[in-house]
Amino acid sequence: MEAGQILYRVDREVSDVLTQTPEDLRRMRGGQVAMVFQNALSAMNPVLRIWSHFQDTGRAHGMNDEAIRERAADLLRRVRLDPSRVLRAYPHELSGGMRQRVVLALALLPRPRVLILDEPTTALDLLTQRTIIDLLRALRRDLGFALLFISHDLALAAELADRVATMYAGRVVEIGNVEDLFYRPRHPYTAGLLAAAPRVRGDLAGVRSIPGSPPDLLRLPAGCPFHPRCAYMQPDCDDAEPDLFEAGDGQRSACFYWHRVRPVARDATA
Amino acid sequence: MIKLERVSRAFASREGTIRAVDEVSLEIGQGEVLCLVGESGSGKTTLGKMIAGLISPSTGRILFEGADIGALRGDAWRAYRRAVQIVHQDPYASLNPTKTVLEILAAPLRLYWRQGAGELRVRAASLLERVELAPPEAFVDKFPHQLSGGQRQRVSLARALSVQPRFLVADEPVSMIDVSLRVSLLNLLARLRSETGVGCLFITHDLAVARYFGAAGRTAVMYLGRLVEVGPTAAVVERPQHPYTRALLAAVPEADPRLTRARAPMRLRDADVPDALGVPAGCSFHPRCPWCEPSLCDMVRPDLVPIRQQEAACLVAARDGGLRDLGPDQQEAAVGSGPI
Repeated sequence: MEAGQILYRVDREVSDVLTQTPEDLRRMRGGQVAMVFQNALSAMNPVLRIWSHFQDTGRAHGMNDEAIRERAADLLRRVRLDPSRVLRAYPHELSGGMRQRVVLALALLPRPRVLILDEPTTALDLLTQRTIIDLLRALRRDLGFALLFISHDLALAAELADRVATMYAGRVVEIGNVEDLFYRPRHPYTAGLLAAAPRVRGDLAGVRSIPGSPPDLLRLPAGCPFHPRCAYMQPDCDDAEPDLFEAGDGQRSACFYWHRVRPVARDATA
Repeated sequence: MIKLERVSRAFASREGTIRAVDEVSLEIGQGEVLCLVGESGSGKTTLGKMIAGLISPSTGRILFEGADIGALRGDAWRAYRRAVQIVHQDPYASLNPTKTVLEILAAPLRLYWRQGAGELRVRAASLLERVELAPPEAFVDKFPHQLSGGQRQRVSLARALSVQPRFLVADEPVSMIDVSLRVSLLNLLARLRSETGVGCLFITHDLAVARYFGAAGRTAVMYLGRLVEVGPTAAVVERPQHPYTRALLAAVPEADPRLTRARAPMRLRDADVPDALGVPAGCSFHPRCPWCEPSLCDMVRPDLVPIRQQEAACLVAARDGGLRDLGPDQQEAAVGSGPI
């Protein structure tokens, strides 16, 4: 990290993740903030049974074997897996969707308050993805953790999110409540992404790509890094990099001309 | 133009035989677009590779303009390999990293046209212009690693079109491309297709992409090596008559929060795809299917039969003259009744 803070609050105590001692950090990881990665197979040890994974994680967070077994069984049932079968299995004996659900249950074992999911369904089939989305929604409702869901797929954000942040070239360029961001995008990149994906319902007119190529991080354009691809570009957009401006109720946009941005017309909402 | 007669392809593995493609029969007309939709492991890539002549069927025949391609030898085989080209999914793997764009495009030109170096450069430049890599001088001496994913896929497309094929197998050509650029590549492919009249098998796992690209053509849906539904794209994607297609449609998340959260969920009886080694008896979708009827669907293997505007391989839909909507009670009954 070159600069900045990552603040984390437990009850009334605020701490900076970047200045914590290794011991505090160790307790926070998994216990307070857990993370699930894209590829579940590489997140597991191939020579250990699933039970050993739960045992290692639980013990590291001060649980005894009986408590681990009880909570593991409960979590596995919640993700629609049979604990008696799965806990005995090795990772390679499970399908991709089953592994991702095991890793999800494993992450929830120490009762984290924040769960970070990095493209958790990208490697999975559509029907398996649907199962995971529905499970995540139910788990969050029942267990009450906060979710940071990282995805390249806007549709998954539309399914799951309360708030959505769009990133471009290493910066958050827009953040807002899910309905504001989808129905009233205030950054040209968000509006462009929304128009770029064909849908299975509604009108196909208005579907179009964003011109140009994704940014080369070694040669970022001057000013707003999106300006060479932007439909709303003005002559002064290469002068300075825009801040995240207030652009409505809780919505912020890193565009000097955010008030001009309009959603691309589609009748899918009709 | 292309006709598949009960084409199967099996692969031997240590644990047994995997039937990747299982008795698929299909016809694709001159200049037609057929979208082939399926999830990973459904056999769609294997089917595409068999049509492109890269692997041969275990049983069954593939006919190209009436001739069995398995019997072609020598010049006839070379002519077939030229007439049918393939664009692979991964433009990072399908282009040789040690060759420039010019060398990549020159190889097929040299092979099929026996052209000299000067002509090759001119032809390569005109190919690059056709795939909208302009100006060509900016690309022709680049190596693949100097290009973005979208640009690489355009080079791959230019290479496939360089020998003026009559049929193109496009295997997930946009799935590895940045979301912001996919539609422009689809539009390019559609334009080149209409200009050249080349027929196309367009393989995708994405119903929305099939709907967009194949709007005027047909769409076929594969599940565990078999075709389960074939028909006009609008009918298949918007009014599916096979439970699997309907499950796919119900599962697609939409980039529209109100719409996507308001949809009725369809709960499958089993969340997991069966192992390719143990494909279920009867209808291979029956252990997951909310419409499944015991002692029918687990006993009889369904064939494609005409239902409404399309063909579907579902015994229940065939008997009822169409797949009925699931009532709320049936959806309820299906919840959580799967094994795991």
